[in-house]
Amino acid sequence: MKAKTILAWLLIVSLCVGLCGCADIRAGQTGDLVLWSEPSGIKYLQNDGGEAAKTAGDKSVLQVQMAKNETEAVQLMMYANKAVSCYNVEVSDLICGDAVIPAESVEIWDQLYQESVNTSRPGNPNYANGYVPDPLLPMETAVAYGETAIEAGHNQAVLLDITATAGTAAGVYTGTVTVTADENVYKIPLEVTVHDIDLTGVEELRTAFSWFDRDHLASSELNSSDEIMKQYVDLMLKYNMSCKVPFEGNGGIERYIELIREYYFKDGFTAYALYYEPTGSGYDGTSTNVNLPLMKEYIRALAHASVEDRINYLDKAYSYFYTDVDEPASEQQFLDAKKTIDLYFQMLFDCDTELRGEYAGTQDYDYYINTVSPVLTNIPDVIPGAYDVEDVKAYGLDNLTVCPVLHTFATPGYAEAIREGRENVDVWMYTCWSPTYPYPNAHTDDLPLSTRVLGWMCYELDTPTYLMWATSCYIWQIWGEPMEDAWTNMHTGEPSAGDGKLTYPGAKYGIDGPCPSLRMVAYRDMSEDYQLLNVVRDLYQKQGLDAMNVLEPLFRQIYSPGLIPNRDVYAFEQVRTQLFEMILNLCAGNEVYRVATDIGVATATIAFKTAPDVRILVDGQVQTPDEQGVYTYHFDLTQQKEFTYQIQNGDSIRTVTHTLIDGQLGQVQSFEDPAEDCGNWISCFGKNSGQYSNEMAQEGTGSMKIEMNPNAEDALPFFALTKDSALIGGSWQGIQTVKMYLYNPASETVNLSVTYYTNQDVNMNSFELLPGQWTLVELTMPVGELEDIDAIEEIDFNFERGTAVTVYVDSLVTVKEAP
Amino acid sequence: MKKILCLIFAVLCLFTLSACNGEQPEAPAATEPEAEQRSNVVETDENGQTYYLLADFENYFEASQLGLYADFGKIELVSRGDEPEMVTNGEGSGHITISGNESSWMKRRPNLRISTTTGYFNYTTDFSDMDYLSVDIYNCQDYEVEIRFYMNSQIDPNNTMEDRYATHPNNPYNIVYSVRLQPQQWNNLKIPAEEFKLVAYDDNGARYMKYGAEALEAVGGFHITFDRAELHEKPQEFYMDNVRAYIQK
Repeated sequence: MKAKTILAWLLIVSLCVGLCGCADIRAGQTGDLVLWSEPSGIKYLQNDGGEAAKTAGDKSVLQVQMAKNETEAVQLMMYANKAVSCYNVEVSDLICGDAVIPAESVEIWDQLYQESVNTSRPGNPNYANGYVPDPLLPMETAVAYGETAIEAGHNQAVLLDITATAGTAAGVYTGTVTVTADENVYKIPLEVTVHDIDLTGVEELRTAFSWFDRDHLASSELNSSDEIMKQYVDLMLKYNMSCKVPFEGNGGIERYIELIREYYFKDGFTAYALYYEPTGSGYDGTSTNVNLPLMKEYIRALAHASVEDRINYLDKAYSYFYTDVDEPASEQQFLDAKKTIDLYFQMLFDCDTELRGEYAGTQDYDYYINTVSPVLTNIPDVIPGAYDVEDVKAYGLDNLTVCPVLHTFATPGYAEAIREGRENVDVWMYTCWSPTYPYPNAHTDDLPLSTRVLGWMCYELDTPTYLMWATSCYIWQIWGEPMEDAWTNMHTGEPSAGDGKLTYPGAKYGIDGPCPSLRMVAYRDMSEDYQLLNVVRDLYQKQGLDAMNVLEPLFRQIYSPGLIPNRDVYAFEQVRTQLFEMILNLCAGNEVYRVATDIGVATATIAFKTAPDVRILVDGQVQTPDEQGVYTYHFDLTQQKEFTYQIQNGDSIRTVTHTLIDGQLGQVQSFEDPAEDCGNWISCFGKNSGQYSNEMAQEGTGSMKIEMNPNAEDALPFFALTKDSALIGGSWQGIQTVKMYLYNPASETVNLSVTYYTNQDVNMNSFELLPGQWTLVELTMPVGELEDIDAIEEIDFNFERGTAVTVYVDSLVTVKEAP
Repeated sequence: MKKILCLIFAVLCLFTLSACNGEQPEAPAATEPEAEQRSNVVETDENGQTYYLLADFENYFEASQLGLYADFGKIELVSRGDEPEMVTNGEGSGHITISGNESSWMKRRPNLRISTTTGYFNYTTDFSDMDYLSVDIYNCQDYEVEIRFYMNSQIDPNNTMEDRYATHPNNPYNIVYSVRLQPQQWNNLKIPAEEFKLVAYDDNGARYMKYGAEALEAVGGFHITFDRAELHEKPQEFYMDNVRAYIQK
């Protein structure tokens, strides 16, 4: 009896111990382990000294929103106040009424870290040294291989990648993420919103990822077979990264056609580079290293397969002769490019001539002539490069599919100029080691958000294909040595961190095939965001309208006209929310179609259309559109600060309030009087001068012309808005914003840096003044940042040292707090 | 009853301990501990001869320093515990399967590079004092197989046969040393230093050959090429282990 009692007590004690080990601790609390949620666009150093964890308190629910047939990620962040020897993460089914997103639809990836030091990432000098996350390892593998320890004082991130299929019902799904960390168990709520928007069939961003040849990855995989390449291609397609089929000649043409037939319909397979070999001795009497006769045989076989299957396999094909023509810059390189392109198109022409003859008189002739032939004779020949528009024209590269590196598009007018005279040829976009920070790219030491916005830029710039030069270079340099460990080595052999290495070799962890990275997740999101934008485009096109009117304000929230991303991931998530709401309201007939939105300093114009049978009411009065069905409203911002209207769709009425101006507009200075001393308003110092001008006007007939002479020795060329100016009147009290228009008459963009001066210069904002345009310069006063706002003596408008800059100022105004 | 309670107690104790990895399979360490990695050590064999150990197939990290060029195939690491007869040195060897064939990219021959400049066996690149290269290869076929050795130089890699195009069967610069492997047995190959040759050019641009010590002053790697897969009825398989560069006495 006594023994039984002891055993019973032992049992009770052991039960208590077991229960203590499963304590349900809510995320966000301080303790041994701090847990919180972050969007997928951000990454924190592993050793950030606990800075990221300070934001944990208000982010205790893992939240993500997506369309149907989309995958979206959210990050579970952990910060160890006390060392963790082992952790594991599991997720439950996600429930929404009777609907379920099964736990299997949530992939759990452990994030591994790579050391970033100045020498390994010369591309981004603004990123702190430390351990940066990028490789993704399946959670169960991470546990099995002992990769799940967290040092005290370190962050650890886990990525949850959630997929909603086309059949997933719209709604808010909830579930639980369970974190086991040594003896503790934590439970964090997961909330997934699936919107009633289906991306199935929506035009995708075409992607053209290359891996060069397989020597680059074989060492780290201990494998260079076709089977390992298939694993790579399949993983890339999962992340919407299209590439060539897993073929490098084995099995010849027959095997190639078999693979094209297999891959053509796979999700994510949007474009593929045609197989070629640089073993040519010439074509049509002209020497070339590209084996065009062999290539012609492959294309003939593809054409035959297309005719036989009545599927035009060539419409996703392109050519990229990277071994022979790449990034032309010198005259000789352009001439070589021209020669290769001309021979290539001659080969296509010859191929087409042969096939026309073969199909003549057959029942396949019409299909070949109408469907295959026009595509075959125009299979793009893509050459990436930092193209100068004049070079492209001078060397007559009319057939070239120009693929400029991203930052060249930042030059105003570049996209239009590079397209001029090339109506039948697409312009693509690409990135490589360049551009570097602050431009967006897919470098390891930048935020995933930077990669994601590339899709938004591709939409705005109308570059429907994005090219990345390499994917799996696990070598130190081109044709160099294998990296010591591709998982931990950030890739120091290239000028930018992680360039050309987006996957990681699974062989290290006993995985048959590669593992993905945070940057691949970002590329996937880039592609899916592009589809979301196309949903808006398609809705607008049904109304005969250009969606750019409504999308451009979204673009400006996430990157500048000069293509510099706003790296605020929360602002980006807000923009995605706006996009989802816009689509849902448009689909429901509860949203207007924006025709024009122009909000200036003193006036604003808003014009929109509606879906059929939808009425607009203002102040309860039914509005009448013009003959084109457009409702147009003009506003005097000195009189009206917001515009409220109602959208009536059947029984549904939605009230929309459009804020035109936030605050009380002051008197607008328009520089209309030639006799007036402009210096009362804007001060020019030293070698700079300002005076009335009737050469340019944003409003009325006059403006203030400021000429700044180069002043390399002394201060930067600048002008100033002083506290004692007529506009400010001796005090900044109550002023929220200062607005003005600046006109840049030069042929190139002028960079403007605005600072305020107390007893030192403090940055306020930067602007790019595009040539031949008025730019609205809006400055938010540092209210709350200074103990006394009147410590500001002046706001300085600074230009680049050593440049002679002329600008015109017009419509100068302050906006004060509403009374 | 006591036994039942003890059993319940034991099960509960196990349950509380299994929070993290109780059901996970034991997995090998992905990376060899740093302390066990090779360094600049010249080793001595049982006969008192000194050598550099160039490849030993002991772990993933070491094996990933090899270069697998062209459509080579794959290397699976095997352990002495699993296949004791297939290891000649240390605890592991490499099981090689050749898959590259005639129609593969630029018709290159399957090519394995044993690099001398990577992070693991980084003794030296100066092999001018080498006596011979020693390699253990097991030929799994039931017939003799020819393999070929050559080296590449760091001095002027464009003029040496290490160039990736050199493995093209028609390339005239493909200067190699051929060895025939006896079937279904370990072949301990000893390739004399003078068999490694280098194409060089004098100041007048005239082409000449360097042999042995002169050619081996700055070695980037020793290469082995195999027959393309289509030359045989099924993919060729080999085991390789214990690649050493023996130093002259």
